Amino acid sequence: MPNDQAQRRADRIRAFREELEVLQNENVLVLDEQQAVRVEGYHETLLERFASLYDVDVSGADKQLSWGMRIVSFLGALALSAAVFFFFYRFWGFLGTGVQVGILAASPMVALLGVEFVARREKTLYFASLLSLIAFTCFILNLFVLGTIFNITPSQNAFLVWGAFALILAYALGLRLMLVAGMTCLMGYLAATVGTWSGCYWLSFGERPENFIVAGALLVAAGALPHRRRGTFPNLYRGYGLLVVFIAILILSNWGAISYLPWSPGTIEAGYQVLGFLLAGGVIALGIRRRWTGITNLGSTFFALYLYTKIFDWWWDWMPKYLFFLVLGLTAILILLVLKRVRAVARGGIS
Amino acid sequence: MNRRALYIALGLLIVVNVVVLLGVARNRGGEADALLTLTERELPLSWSFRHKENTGVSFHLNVNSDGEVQQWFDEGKLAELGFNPGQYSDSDHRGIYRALPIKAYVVLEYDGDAWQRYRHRQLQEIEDLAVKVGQGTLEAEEAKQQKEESLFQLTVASRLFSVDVGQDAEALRLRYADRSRYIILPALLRMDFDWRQESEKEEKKRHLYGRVQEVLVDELHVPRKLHGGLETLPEISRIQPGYTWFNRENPARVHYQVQVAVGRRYEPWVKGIEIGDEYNPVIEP
Repeated sequence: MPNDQAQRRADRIRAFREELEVLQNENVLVLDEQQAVRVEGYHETLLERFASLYDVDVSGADKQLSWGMRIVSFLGALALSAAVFFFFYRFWGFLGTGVQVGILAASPMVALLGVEFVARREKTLYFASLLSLIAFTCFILNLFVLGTIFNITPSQNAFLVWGAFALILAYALGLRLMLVAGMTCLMGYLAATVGTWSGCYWLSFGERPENFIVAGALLVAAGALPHRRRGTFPNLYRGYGLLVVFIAILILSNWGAISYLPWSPGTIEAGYQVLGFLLAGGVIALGIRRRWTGITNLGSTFFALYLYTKIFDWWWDWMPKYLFFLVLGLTAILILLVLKRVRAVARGGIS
Repeated sequence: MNRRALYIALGLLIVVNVVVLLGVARNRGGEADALLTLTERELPLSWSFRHKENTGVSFHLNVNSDGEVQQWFDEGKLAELGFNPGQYSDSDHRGIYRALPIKAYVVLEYDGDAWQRYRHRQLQEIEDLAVKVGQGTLEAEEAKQQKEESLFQLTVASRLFSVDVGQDAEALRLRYADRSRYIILPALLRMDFDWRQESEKEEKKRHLYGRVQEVLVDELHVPRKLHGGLETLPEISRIQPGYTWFNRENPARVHYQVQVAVGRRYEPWVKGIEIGDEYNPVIEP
C-alpha cells in the first residue's frame, strides 16, 4: 500500500472515532463493550502497523507537525540548492577544466545515491525529498555550466532531460515536489518545441503565450493517464496544467498583440476573454461533477480574476472609486450566490 | 527507491553527460572552421570578472554594431532568411513588432572592409570638426574634446562587424573562405524599422531592415590554465564590453590578444592568450 493510501485510511479512522464519540454522547449509537473493544483493538493494530511501516500521522497533532516538517524541508531544500549553486560559482574559477567537468558530472550522481540511501532509512521521505531537490539542482548546474565551459549553443533539450530526471525521482518515491519540478521543465520544453513549429527560435517561446496553452493542455491530458500507485499525481497534473492555461489566457486577453493569431489585438483580446470565461465555467462544472475540489477552486479563482480585470478595464477610469469597489463587492456577492445555488443543486444530485 | 528507478536515473545522468562531451569533442575535432587572433577590443573581459561570487573568467564577444556599416541587411536579405517583409512594407503595420526573431548564421568580419569604412567615416567626421569651427558652428574647445574622444574610439572600438547572414553555414563559408578573417556563428535575427532618411532629397520614410539581435554564444569561457596574466590587468584601463568611455587620466588600451577557434558545430573556444602592450594601434591625428 502506498503511503498516501495508508494516510487516508488513518485519517478515516480518526474521523470515525470522533464521530462515534459524538454519537455515543448523544445516545444515537452506543456500542456494547465487546464491540467497542473489538473495533478499538482493530483500529489500534492498524494504526500501529501504519505508523511502523509508513510513519503516517495518527493524530491531529501529528498531522500539524507533519505540515510544519514539510514546509521546513521544502525551505531547507531551496536554501541548500542555492548553497550548492553559489558554492560552485564561488570556487570553480580555481579549478582546471577536467576537475570542473568531473565535479559537475559526479555531483548529481552522488546526490542521487544520497537520495537512495536516505529513502531506505526513512519512511516519511522528508530528507529524501530535500536531497532530491539538491540532486535536481546539481543536474541543472551540471548541464548549465558544461554549456558555459564549452561555449555550447543553448538548446531546449536540456529542459527535457531535467524534466525526465525529476519525474523519475517523483515516481520512484512519490515526491510531489519533484513532480512539480518535472512538470515545470516539461512545460518549458513543450512550450519551446511548440514555438519552433512556427519557425521561431526556441528561446523566444515566452513571446507567444499560446505555446503555454498547448503545453498546459498536454499536462492536463497527462492527468488522465492511469496512476495506480501514485493516486495523488493526476490531480497535480490537472491543477498545474490548468493553472498554466489560465495564466496564458489571462495574458492574451489583455495583450492580444503578442498572439500568433493574425487579427487585430482588440479582436484577439475579446476572443480570449470569452474563451477564458467559458473555460473557467467548464472547469468549475467539471470539478463539481468529478468532486475535484482543487480544480473547482482554481476555476472559480480565475473566473473571478477574468471578471475583475474586465471590470477594471471598463470602469476604473470612468467610475468614482467608491462606486467601482462597490460594484466589485457586489459582483463577489453575486458569484457567491451563484456558487451556493450550484452547491445546492449538486447536493440534490448526490442525495 | 527501487533499484530499477535508481539505475534509470543514473543511466540518464551518464548518457546526457557523455552526449554533451561527445558533442564538444566533435566540435573541436578535425580542422577548425575558423582560427583567428583577436584582441581585447573584440574580446574584453566580461562584467563578472573579479566578481567575488563568480570566480569564472570569460570574454565578451564585442561585435561593432555601427548601423551605417550594416546597410547590407535589407528587405531582400530578410526575405532570403524566411521573413515576410512584403507583409509590412506598404502600410503603417504595427505588426512588425510581433514578428518573431529567427535563428540563422551570422558572418563576422575581423579587421576588414567594414572596419575600414567605419574608420574612414570617423576620420572624416574628425576633419569636419575643423570646418565647423571655421564656420563658427562649434566651439574650439568642444571640437578638441570630440576629436580626442573619436581618436580614442578608433583605438578601442571592436573591428569585428557582421557582414552577412544566412541559413546555410556551409554556403556562407564558401562565400567567405578566409578562415582567419571571417567567423560564422549562430545568431538571433530580427526584423525592424528604420525611420531615417536614405538621402538628403528623400522624405523621412520607413525602411524595413534586419538586425542581429544577439550572437547566441557571446561569452567565451577562459580555462584556468589561461587565466595567468589576466589576473594582474589594471582595472581602470581595461576595455569594457559594449562601449568604452574615454577617461583622459587613464584611457583604456589593449592589454592582450586571444587566439580563437570555431569548431565544426560553429561553437567557439579560446585557444591561447598573449599579454602585451604591442597590440595598441597608433592613430595619427
